[in-house]
Amino acid sequence: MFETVALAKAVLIGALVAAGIMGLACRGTPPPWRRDACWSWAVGVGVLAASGATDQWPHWPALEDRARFLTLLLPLTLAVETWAAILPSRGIAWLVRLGLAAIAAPILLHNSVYLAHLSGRDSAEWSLAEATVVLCGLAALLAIVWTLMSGLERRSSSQAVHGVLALDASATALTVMLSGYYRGGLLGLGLAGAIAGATLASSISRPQPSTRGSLGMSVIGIFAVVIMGRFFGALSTSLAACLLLAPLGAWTVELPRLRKLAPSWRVMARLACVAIPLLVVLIIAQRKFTAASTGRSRAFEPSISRAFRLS
Amino acid sequence: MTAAAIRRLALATILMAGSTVAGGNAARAADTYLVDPIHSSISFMISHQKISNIHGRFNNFSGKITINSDDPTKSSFALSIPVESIDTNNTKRDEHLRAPDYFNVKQFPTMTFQSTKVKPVDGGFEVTGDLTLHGVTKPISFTLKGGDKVVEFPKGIKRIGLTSTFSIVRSDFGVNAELGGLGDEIPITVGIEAAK
Repeated sequence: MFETVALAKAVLIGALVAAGIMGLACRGTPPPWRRDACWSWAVGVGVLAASGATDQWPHWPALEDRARFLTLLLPLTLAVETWAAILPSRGIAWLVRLGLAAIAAPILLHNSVYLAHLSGRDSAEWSLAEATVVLCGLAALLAIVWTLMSGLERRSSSQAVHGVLALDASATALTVMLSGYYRGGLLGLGLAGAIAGATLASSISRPQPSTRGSLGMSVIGIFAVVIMGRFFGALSTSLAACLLLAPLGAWTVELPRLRKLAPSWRVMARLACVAIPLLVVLIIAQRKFTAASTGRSRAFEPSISRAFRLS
Repeated sequence: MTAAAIRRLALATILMAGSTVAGGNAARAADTYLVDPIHSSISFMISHQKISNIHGRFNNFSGKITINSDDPTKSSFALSIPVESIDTNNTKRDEHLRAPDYFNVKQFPTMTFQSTKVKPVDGGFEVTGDLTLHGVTKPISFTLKGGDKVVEFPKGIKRIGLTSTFSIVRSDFGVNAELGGLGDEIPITVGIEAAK
């Protein structure tokens, strides 16, 4: 059975903490850098709070993927995004962000069977060449998604893009859970809650927070949960790619003909363009899960409602 | 040849013969066996909702056992288990056990045991050693029964047998999912044949 209380706790704690930080940070007339950085801090601290509330506090040494995300990648992202907010040069800020995109996957996959020889000499699953290709490919994918979503943020609004990312994070979390990695999915739900909470709080705050590249925490968070599901859970490559690329569907609304739509229609079209592929991904993941549960198990787990428990 | 030379030669012969005998004894005293996975099993049991138990086993493992019959404290026991080989008679459950929620085989593919202290006891050995599971190394102690009887099966292959039942606390090793519904203390039964 889905542990409903844990799932609700992850979403709600993430949302409440992120909304609280967003509301506090944007009170009065904050300096521009604070408005720029508050998105990342709201989402990042929201994720940490949700993780703590679901017994996944960051711990050291960070031997596992989740711990490495919480203790290394998340603080690094917060530092980079805060520094990028303070920096006057957008070019240098993006250079640092691209550097972060390059080290995100190696941090998550560190000392795993893919990169390290854990079962004896030459036992790593990837050769040096394969590892280079995979890690460079992942870095390029993350950088492309990040820059394209930032471009969309400049053309529309932070709320619109974060709304799309909240949707993607929710679908990613559920798909990773259905792919046999419950705790990774739980982390993703905390992320989805935090993005949604920050988005809602920013929508009602005055003045509106800046739209100058505030997506780092959300994009890297989704990337991390997808990588965890793909390389440590049983998420397939095709579903992982769909989850990573789905937010780019929001660009469809920027096509010349659709740009003429009324703003409310554009919001709906943008959400639909992202939600439809995500829904397809979820249906496929659920079918795979159901098939695996009923086809191969021997009368132990007869329904999806017992999906994630041995007990 | 003088009488003195004869005495020296005789002494040298006795010394050489003595050293040969001693060497032979030493070779027999420390015998190294490799674990025979076909005739061995490592199984475990986990309490389910505190009303019953689920049984499981590891299908692959390897190990090396050195029995020093002259000085049993110098005996040693080493075991390596690929966690991927876990089998609880349910494919979906096994996949979940391999996932990061439990053993995380992509991060921690192998479980190992290496003895650090061996003490002879009546009918076997009191073994203390380091168990590495889920990336965490902790000392454990247990009694191994057997090891004293050597049989030849098949012809030309000498083998010994050792058995033990002991428990570990899985949360000590960071395997702490579902502690409410699934037992924390895991009884483990080891039945090993090792051959040389």
